[in-house]
Amino acid sequence: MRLSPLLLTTQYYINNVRPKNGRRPSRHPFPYNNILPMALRDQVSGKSNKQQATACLQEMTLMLACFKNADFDQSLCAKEIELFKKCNEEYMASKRLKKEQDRGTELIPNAKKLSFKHINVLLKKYPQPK
Amino acid sequence: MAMSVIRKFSLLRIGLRSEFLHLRCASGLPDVLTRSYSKYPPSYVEPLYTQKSQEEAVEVGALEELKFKPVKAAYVFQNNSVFHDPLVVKFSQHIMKAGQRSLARELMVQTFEQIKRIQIKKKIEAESPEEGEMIEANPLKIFNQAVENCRPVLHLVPVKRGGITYKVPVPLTEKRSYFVAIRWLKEAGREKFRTVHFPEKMAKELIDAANNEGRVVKKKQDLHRQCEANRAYAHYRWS
Repeated sequence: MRLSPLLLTTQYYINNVRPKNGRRPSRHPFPYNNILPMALRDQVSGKSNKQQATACLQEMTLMLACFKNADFDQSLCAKEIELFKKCNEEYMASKRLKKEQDRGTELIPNAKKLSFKHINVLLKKYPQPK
Repeated sequence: MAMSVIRKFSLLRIGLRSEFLHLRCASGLPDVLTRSYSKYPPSYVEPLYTQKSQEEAVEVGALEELKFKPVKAAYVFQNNSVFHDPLVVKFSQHIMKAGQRSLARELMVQTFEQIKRIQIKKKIEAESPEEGEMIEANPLKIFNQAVENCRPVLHLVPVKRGGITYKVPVPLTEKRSYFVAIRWLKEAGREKFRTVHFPEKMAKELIDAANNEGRVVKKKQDLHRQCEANRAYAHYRWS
């Protein structure tokens, strides 16, 4: 069996208290060696920095429903198509803007949601107390 | 001898420098040093080759900014003629095989002539003059309408989820939708009997597409039908 700190704790300690029977412990407690420093880093990774994947789903559903009703004649669904295209364009524009903002490290005043780069800038400016 | 040595040395230096550039870029530093593969450096701007675009630039005030910027040379197919239509140019470029631009242009002209002939014939053979009035005989208008009618809104993209590849309906960009429409029309024009000439077939396909019928429009509708059938997987976008 692999001796993990938890396992050794249960063997050596009883109810989180060291037994006071004066005996030598059969196994020495697991030494805790902190490989990594016990503090948060001054940076975050941007791995989970993805946008909402399913944009314009409502509009797409409406448009496809209209297509089905009109036997796929697009001229009868001009309004739905227009709405869908507009939604998609707005989404693409916001995506582009976000990408541009992510690229630059210049902070945006009063931004409610910070990108990982902005967080990194702020963390560098105000690092974790050591 | 001395010259060759110098040349070898300079080649070596260039080699070293490119190696160095490569390393710099791989190490995550900003890729300012990467060599561009474009003919022009990024400081060059696209030319405003039509009078309309120039006037627009003046109105918006963008011309002041462009005044002192180096401009790329215009392409052969970009000109300020009154007959210039970017979509027609695009289409003839798709038709073109092995860089035979003049042949592609000629085929385009012949296609338009065929369209005109067919429509004029329809006009003459119309039962009443009012009905004849309704028939469009401008090949350029028919062409533009045909491409517009063949543009799809959605397409299917394979997305792998849990070992199964789903076909996910995804919106097309404007540019891509034009590309798909032109490709379909071109393929329909090329699919013909040996004795039929390309302009003849192309003209028929374009007229059909302009009237919202024919095989290309049907192809688009089939794609939309498939998208409709796979609408349940729409939330799988961008796995």
